Amino acid sequence: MNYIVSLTLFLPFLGFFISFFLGKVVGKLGASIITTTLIYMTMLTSIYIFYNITVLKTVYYVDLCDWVNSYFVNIKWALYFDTLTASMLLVVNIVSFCTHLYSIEYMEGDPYKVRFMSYLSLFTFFMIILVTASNLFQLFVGWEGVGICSYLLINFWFHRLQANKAAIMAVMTNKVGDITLLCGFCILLYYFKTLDFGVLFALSTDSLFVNNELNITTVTLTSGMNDLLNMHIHTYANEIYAICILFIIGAIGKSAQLGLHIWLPEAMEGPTPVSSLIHAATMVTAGIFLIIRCSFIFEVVQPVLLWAVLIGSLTSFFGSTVACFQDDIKKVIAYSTCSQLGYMFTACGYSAYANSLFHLFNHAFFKALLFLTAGYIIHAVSNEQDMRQMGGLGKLMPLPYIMISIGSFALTGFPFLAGFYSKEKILELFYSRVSLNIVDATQNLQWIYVAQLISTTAVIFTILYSAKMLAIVFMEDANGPKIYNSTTVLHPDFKNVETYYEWRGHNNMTLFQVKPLLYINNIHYGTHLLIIPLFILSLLSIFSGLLFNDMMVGPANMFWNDSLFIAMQETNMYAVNESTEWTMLNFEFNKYIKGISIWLGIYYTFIFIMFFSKWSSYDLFTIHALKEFSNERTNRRKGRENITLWNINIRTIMVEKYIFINKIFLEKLMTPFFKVGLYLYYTLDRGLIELVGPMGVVKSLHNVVYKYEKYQNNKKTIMYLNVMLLGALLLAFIILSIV
Amino acid sequence: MSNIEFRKQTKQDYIVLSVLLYIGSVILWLNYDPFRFAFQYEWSLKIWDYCFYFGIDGLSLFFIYLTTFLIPLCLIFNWSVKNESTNFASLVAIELLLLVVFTTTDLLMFYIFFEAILIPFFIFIGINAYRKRKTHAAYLLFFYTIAGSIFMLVAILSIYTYTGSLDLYIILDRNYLENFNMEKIIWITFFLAFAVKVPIFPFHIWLPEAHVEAPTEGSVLLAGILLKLGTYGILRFLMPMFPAATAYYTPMVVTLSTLGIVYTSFITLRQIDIKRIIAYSSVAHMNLCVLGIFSANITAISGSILLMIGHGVVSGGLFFAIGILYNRMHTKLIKYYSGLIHGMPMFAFFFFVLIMGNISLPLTSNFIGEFLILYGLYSSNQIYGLLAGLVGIFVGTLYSIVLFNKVIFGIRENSDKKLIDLNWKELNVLLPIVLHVVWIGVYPNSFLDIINTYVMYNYF
Repeated sequence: MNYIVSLTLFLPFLGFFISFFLGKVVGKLGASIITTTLIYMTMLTSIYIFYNITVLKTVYYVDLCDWVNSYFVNIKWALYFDTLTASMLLVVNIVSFCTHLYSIEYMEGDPYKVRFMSYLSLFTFFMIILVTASNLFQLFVGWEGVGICSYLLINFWFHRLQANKAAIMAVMTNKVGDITLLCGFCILLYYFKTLDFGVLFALSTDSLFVNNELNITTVTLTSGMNDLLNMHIHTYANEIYAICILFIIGAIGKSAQLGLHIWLPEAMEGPTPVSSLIHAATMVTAGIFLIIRCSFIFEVVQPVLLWAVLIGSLTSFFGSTVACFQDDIKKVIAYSTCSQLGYMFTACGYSAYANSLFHLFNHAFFKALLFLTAGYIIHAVSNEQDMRQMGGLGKLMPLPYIMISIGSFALTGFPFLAGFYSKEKILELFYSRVSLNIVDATQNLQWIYVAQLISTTAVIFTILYSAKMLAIVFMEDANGPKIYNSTTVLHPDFKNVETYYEWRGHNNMTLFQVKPLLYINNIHYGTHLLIIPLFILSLLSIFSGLLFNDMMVGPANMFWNDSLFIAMQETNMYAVNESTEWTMLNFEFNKYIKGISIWLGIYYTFIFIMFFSKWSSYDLFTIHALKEFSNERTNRRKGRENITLWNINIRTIMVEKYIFINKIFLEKLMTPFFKVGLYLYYTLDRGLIELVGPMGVVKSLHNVVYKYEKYQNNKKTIMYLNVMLLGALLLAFIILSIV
Repeated sequence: MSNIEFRKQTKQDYIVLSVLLYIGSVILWLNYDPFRFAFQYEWSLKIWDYCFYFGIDGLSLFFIYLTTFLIPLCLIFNWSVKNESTNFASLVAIELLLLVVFTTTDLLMFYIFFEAILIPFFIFIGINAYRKRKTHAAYLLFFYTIAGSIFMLVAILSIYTYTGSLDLYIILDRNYLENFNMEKIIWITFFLAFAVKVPIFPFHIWLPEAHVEAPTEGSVLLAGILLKLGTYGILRFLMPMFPAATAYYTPMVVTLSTLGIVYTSFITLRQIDIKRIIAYSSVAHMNLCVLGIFSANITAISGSILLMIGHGVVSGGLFFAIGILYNRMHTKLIKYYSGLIHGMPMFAFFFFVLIMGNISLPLTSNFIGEFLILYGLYSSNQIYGLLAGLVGIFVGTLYSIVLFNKVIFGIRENSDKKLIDLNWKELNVLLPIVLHVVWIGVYPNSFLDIINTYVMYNYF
């Protein structure tokens, strides 16, 4: 059994090893086949593990060997498989397999395809290390490893300056999170003397239970230290709070939350399969995974989760609003990822780790689908990423149209698709959460109201950008000069315009039409290798919510099986009598609270109507106005004046990505680094230390020597001799007189 | 036998000698008993009435291993360079002198050979360096070391007047320093000698100069082993001999090395010479080592020793990589490098692994050491040291990744020179180094098992 479990880890590494070091031997095709087959086998093992763990209720702990042993630092190489790991493995391996299969054709023309496949396998290997780690230190290996693989993959087209910049930015913004995480490990290790999950979680939550009963109220930071049993945790509550804050910053860096999000949209410089695997499904969810994995620590100091709620909801709002105004199709999806990660963060903040992971699970599938389909379109229209240059692709490429529609509907939470089960529930969490003791403990109820308002508003923008993307790319008339304007020709039936006018008198046929042959020749349709991954992912994004809903977030499920910890008895709520206060909080069984989501649904519908009606007076939300935004430059050229000042201002703010955030981070923060470096170099290293040190010594010596040289060159040697003689005589006289 | 054949034969002999020494050090390691605290493999040398003792313990074992590991690689790298016989002789002389330094337990012997290494090194830089500024660099190296350690000689002699012997264990046994002021003064003299070698913050400017001017093998030995002489001296003599004065001066050293980490990290950002970047980054790493040693924490000291070994391997490898580049392009300025991956993918791989070692990525050697040091710093409540270490890691990532990106990626400009990938000689130099980097990162216990016992016995 251990062998099969360990295979999950070592098969991708084998794929990397063969294709990277023996790339010349196996060749492009060989590398593709080997890596994809090995990832396929990994996927099968992960499904097997998922079955074993979730259905047969087993837990695996594979002890490989010791790693670091130094006094109190005792760290092992060990694999740990519980429900959380199994679910993540399923996501990682399915998406990774789809991406591998997809890349075989997508990267066909690339001279470094072998390298690309090996990088993908290496990334999968590190991601599996991250997911299967049995201690935080080993998790950090995967954490940094995926960061470096992300650097290599963003930078894959390394001759592009933009790609280089984006890759460096990704590494550096992640590094901010990494060093805080390292700091957190140090503190954690100091107070608990272990980084192993099992021991750590037992220790951290042990103090929550007094006399075998859950005692939440004693955990708050401000309460007194009456109970001797709680001395331990009271002493350390502040430190655990600090650790949680550090972990949250680490997660912010990795999961591209507000503040350290800037690397994610820039990372779209990489090839599209990379964006789908790394920047949608797996790597960016590592931060969420960290928080879910460490739920045992976070639950000890629940007030800290308020930060997660606030940051998450702000990010979801930010991401979805900016996405509305992006022109690059990949950047729209990237900001969308940003905002969805914000929802996961929010769910973690509400202690609903299961919901967070369920959204992660669904989001991985439909976001990977969106990215891969976007890649399909980009591949088809000769690497054009600007949505304004597309348009009318619905007729030419029905398959991507269907796929993007499925992905977008799943994203917006269309009933019975994946997002409906996970995202809507995250919004509803508020009602189940808001009047519980935990929120009272934070004493910050108003902030949670604000956060809920923000994240609910963000849902509207989610619908807006999804529909805008569908409309501009597929439904609208074609916009692009690259496609239509260059290929519009006079209808072949007419020799010249005169004959056309002559004929026009009795027929309504148009003068210009698309020359179909040219246009279709330009489009490069994918073969089955591109399409099969799309089908797999589209099926998953339709059914994953439906299939796994009751399993993962259903009431009173035993699915998580001690892999998550929530310091309140949420799962027992449904069983309590309706008259008790618990029932009122349970949104599943309270008709008034249940109605909220219906109200929201009506609101969405209203927005949809506003969006689709061309005659609506709400310019901001109509497709007409949006198209005008998009074609701002064209309109200005053509002298149209239908863009209001309001629209232009909004667009300026949005397209510049809330200007201040980018500027502050890059210029106001990083430039001083370099300035300080230069200043120190010239004032100290080349200045003071050099003056006191070698240069000063050399110069002063030189000055002394020069002075004596000057005396020597005065041609007063005779005088010197005289003085010397006089002195000698004097000396002799003195000596003689003494003697 | 013609002259050329004779030369080749000589070179082969030197390489065989160094490889034999390496095998010897491996045998030493394998036969080393990690559970014995005291010196092992002891032997003595009697010159007239004076007896010099030698021995190997957990600290010196790894420095011996590092020395014997790097020197054969230097010799192989040097195979087809002119002046080779002088080079080979001086390199092997450096090796033998270093072995004496790392094995002796006698203070005088240590001092003599500590200084004697300068002679072959001075010759080596003077003969082989590239530019005219080499004389300046060689003088800097020489005078900084001499100026730092000349007072140590006086202190050693004064200790001799008290104890009548300079063997380490006899000195440790005798409670000769009744006067604490005396101990403080002697501590300062010792510290100056070692601080110049490490180099700690204000005494560091000889190092980039020497690195930039020295030939590749010189830089490798300088960064790989000679810098470790300072920390070795601190661990071997300074801390056991003057524990009270060490405790007294700890805040000063911690301040200096904390400043040194931040300062050198920031300075590295604006360097234009690849060798200078790696040189300054070695200063930052070595300052972190010193910080770990003076945090007086058991884990941090173990981590420091591990980081010294790891850094010796990583920076040695980086200087080899730069040497390989220099042999092809004859420049060390970053400006003239870009897009090397187009023609040198194999080199790019090795350079990548070494750069990852420099930014202390997990699974590479430096990470374990740095984490242990950071943990030790937090344990001994040195928050500023911890912050400096974290800042050092962050800025270190910035300059390393920017350097790597500029050299390896991007469009190939200045494409008049044809790019030639690694040949067998260079591959054989880089491959063992990279294997060591990964080995220490993945299974550091083979080092830590011995280091732990040593640190536990000697300092706590």
